Amino acid sequence: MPVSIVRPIDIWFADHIFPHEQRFHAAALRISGSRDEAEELVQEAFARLFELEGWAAIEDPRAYVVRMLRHIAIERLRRRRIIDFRQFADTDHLTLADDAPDQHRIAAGRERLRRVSDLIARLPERCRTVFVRRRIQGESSQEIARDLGISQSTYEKRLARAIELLSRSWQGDEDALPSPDKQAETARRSGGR
Amino acid sequence: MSIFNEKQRRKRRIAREAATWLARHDSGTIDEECFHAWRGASPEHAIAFARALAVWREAQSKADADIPLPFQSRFTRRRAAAAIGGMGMAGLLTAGAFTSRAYAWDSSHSGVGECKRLILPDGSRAMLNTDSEMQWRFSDDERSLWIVRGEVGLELVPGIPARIHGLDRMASLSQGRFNVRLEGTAMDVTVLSGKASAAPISAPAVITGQPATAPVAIASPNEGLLLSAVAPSVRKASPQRLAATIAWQQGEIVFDNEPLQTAVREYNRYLADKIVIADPDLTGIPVGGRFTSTDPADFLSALELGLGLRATRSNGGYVLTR
Repeated sequence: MPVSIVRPIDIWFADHIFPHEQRFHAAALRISGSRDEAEELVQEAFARLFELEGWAAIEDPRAYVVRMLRHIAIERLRRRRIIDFRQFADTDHLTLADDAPDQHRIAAGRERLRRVSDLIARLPERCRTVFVRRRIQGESSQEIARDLGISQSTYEKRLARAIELLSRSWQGDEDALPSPDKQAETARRSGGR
Repeated sequence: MSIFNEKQRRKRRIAREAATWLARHDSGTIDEECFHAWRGASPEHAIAFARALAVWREAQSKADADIPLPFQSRFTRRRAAAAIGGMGMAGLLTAGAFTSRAYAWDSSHSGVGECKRLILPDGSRAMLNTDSEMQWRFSDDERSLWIVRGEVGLELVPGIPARIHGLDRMASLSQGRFNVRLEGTAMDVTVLSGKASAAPISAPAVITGQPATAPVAIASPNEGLLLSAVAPSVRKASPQRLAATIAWQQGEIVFDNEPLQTAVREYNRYLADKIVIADPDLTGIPVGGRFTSTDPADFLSALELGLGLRATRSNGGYVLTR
């Protein structure tokens, strides 16, 4: 059976994993203490999830990933043969926080779960037009290209650029779609170019 | 430092590739074999593609939420109304002639623990509380505000009724002083002076010309207007609520007989280093008092002295135990 482009696991990731990505980074940061290490933990967790046969049977994907992060962190510590009891002690404390029911969860504050609609509003004009007409209004790619007087290939490039910026921004890449505030600040710093 | 840049570049390149594949897939021009080869080449590729797909899906599900329209023309407004039955995301389009600055939305946001003062184009004042974001658009016949995140204090000068949007709700504000807060799926407007009224949730009047049939909720001073998934409601603002709305603008946070868990959650809005309650038994303990919002030291020592709790520093945050 041919493997489809969009697989059930991709949908599962989209619906149950990526929306919590910032939380996973926060948890990984608490577990590891370093941003670089946290990034690697999360990437490793995602990579393993993709290979996991029983992914569909996971009851609580969010809690599962957090547990996975801890396991991977401990694995890595063992491999490096670093025993730091303080680190383990701290993760014990945080075990309670991570596994605790929702109302104990730290909300607001640093959570960067932006709404995609806010991000779309920040797209550069040409990319935004193409993205909105295709994705929100549901016009066909041919219609849009014809109407805008551009080639199919140009249309695809603009759509790809929109998707790229949105997906980078959604993940926390601040440079992808800077807020107007940040744009002004950048302009000021570079001498108001 | 250069290793970081290397990683960043690599991440961005992979994101770009994934986006290109998704765009081709959507356009029907994808070369399946090539795609599978790319995706199988590295777990990073598979993750990036799934992420592009996630954001693509997310855009669809938000399609019927009203959002600020950076540029808007009368043409696209009518088209959008026809297509979606409301002023939907289609308003994001520009249509040539109407791309003047006058139609652009301004925005400002505050960081965690930051309080930001703004003067709006008509002289009205706004104050953003911790980790908040607001957008606005003013013209001769419009005063529109959009609370994207967090909490905002407003002092509106006389003029045409201002409209404040949050999520997919909207309230109309007269001249006066208000505190607007987004909490979960609700927008909460506390009226300090003046009046706030809610537009009914289903407002097809623009499209169909039919008048709204539901009674409009109106809040007066010392009342709160709550706009949530159910019909908007007006209730008396408790003295505690009023005290809290005034307190934050002075860099303070006030609790009055609230469970510790609520107090901590509220405090954490202001803190980059979060407080964690490690012992579930502690969550219901009632706490009260007035504290500085930017430094939890007094709050934590009050908990230690008053309730015999222990606050320990841990990985940049604070942990509360017995």
